[in-house]
Amino acid sequence: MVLLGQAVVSGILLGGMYALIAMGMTLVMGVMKIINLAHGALVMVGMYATYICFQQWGIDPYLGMFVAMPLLFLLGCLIQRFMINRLLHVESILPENQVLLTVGVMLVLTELVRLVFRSDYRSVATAYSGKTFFLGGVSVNVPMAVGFLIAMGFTYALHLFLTRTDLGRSIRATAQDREAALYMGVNAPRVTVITFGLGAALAAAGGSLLLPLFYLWPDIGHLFTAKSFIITILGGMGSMPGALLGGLALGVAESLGATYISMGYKDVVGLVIFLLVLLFLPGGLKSLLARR
Amino acid sequence: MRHMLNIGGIDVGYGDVQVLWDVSLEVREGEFVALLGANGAGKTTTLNAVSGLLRPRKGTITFLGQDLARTPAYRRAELGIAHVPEGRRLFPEMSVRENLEMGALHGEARRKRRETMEEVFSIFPRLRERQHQLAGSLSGGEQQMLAIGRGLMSRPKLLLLDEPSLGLAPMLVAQVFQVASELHSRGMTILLVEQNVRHALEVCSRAYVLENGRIVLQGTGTELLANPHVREAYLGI
Ligand SMILES: Nc1ncnc2c1ncn2[C@@H]1O[C@H](COP(=O)(O)OP(=O)(O)OP(=O)(O)O)[C@@H](O)[C@H]1O
Ligand SMILES: [Mg+2]
Repeated sequence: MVLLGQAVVSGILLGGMYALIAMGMTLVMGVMKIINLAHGALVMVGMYATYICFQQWGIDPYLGMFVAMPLLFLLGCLIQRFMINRLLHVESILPENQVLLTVGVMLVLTELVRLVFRSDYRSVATAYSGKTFFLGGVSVNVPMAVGFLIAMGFTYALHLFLTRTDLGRSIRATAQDREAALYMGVNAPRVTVITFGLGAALAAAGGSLLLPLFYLWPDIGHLFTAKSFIITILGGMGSMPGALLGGLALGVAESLGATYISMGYKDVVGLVIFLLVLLFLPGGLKSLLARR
Repeated sequence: MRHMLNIGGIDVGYGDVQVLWDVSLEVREGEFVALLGANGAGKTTTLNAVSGLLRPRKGTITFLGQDLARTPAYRRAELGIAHVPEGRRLFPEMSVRENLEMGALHGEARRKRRETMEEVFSIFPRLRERQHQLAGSLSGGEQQMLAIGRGLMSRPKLLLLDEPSLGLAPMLVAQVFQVASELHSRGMTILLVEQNVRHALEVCSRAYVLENGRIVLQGTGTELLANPHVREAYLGI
C-alpha cells in the first residue's frame, strides 16, 4: 500500500513536469497543425543551457531556467521565422513536409550539442539533490516536489496568458481558424513565430525542472519528443487540459511500471499505453470526458 | 458621396484556375450594395480579395482612396474593413465574449471595446445572455448574430456580409435582413453577398450580378427586380 502510494505520488510529480513540456508541443501543434519532432531536442538544448549556468557560474537550476527560457524562446522564434514560415510560401511543399523539416532541426541541434559536449553523461549535484521529506508515510523527493510546484505555477500562468490577454487569445484564435483570425486583424505570421518561441520556452522550463532528476546527454531529446507525443495523443491532440491530464497519466503509468515491473521498462510502459490509446481511444482522454 | 471601396478590373484565381475576370465594383459611403450570383459565381472570392486573403493578378482595389495592393490581410481590419465570412467562421472553442473581443484588436476599437460590446448586446440581446457560453454550442441563428456582432466590434467603416442568411429558418432570415437594414439606416456602409436575391434586392440601394466570374448586370434594387433576366434566372418568374 505504501509502495503504491509512493509510486503514484512520484508519478504525479514527474507527470506535472512532463505535462509542461507537452503543453509546449500542444501549443505549436494547435497553431501550425504539425507535430514538432524537434520539441525534445529543444528540451535538451534548454537543459544544456541550464546545465552550463550551473557548471560555469554555479547558478541553481531553478534560477538557470530563467536564462534558458528566453534563450530558447529566441531560438524557437528564429526556427519558425526563418525555416518553417519560409516553407509556407512554397505551394509545392505540403504541411507533411514541414514535419520533415522539424526532423532536420532535431538532427542539427542534437549533433551541434554533441560536437561541443560530446556524448558524455552529465548531471547537476545540488544541496537538495538527494533530499526527501515525508508526507503521510510517503517519502517525497525534494527536487521532484519543487519541480512539480513550479511546473504547476507555469501551467497556471500559461492559462492566464491564453485566456486573459489579446496575444494569448490571438494564439487560440489562430489555432481554431487561421483565416477568421486574419479577418479579425491578427498578424498570423507573427503569432506563429511567437507560438513556436513559447513552445520552445516551455520545453526549456520543463527540461530545466527535470535536470536535477535526469542524466543529461545529447540524445535525451528523443526521449522527450516521444513522451510529449504520447501525452499529446493521450490528451486528445491540441487541448491544454488534455495535455495536463495526459502528462499526469503518463507520469503515474511510468512510475507504476518502474515499481511493479522493472526500472528498465519505465519507458516501454509509456509506449504500450500509447499504442493502446491509439487502438481503443483515438480521441484521447478528452473524448472520454466529452462522452459523459 | 465619397468613394469607400473601389474595385477596378480585377482578375483573381486559385493556382492555375482563374475565377474572377475583370470585375469592377464600387461602394460609396453610406451605400448598401448587394453582390448577387449563383453558387460558384465568385462572390466569396471577390470579398476575399477585398479583405486581402487573395491577391488580384490584375486590377486594383482601393479603400478610402488608399491602394490596398501592399496592405497585408491582417492590416485591413484596422483600416475599417470588417468581414463577416460565409459559414460564420467563429472561434468555436472560445466564449461568445471572447469572440467579440477578438473583433476589437486594434486602435480605437480596442480602446472602446466595452462600449462597443454594450452596443452589440443591445442589438443582439441574446448574445448578452449567452456571453459565457462557447460559440460552438450556439444555435445557427445565434452564431450568425455573433458573427455579425464580432464584425461590428471593430467599429468598421465598411461591413462585408457573406451570405448571412445561409442555412437559417425563414423567420431568422427576415431578422438578419432587418438587422442589416437597420445598420444601414444608422449610417453603416454595407457590401452584402447573397443568393437570396429577392430579399437582397428589396433592402439594398444598388446591386451587381456576378455570373461565372464576370459582372453581367448592375443597377438599383428596383431596376434589377424589374429586369427580365434577373426575374427569369434568379426569381423564377
Ligand atoms: N480555395 C479554392 N481553391 C480552388 N478553387 C476555389 C477555391 N475556393 C473557391 N474556388 C472556386 O472558385 C469559384 C468561385 O468560388 P466562390 O466561393 O467565390 O463562389 P461563391 O459565389 O461564393 O459561391 P457560393 O454561393 O457557393 O458561396 C468556384 O468555382 C470554386 O470552385
Ligand atoms: Mg460564397
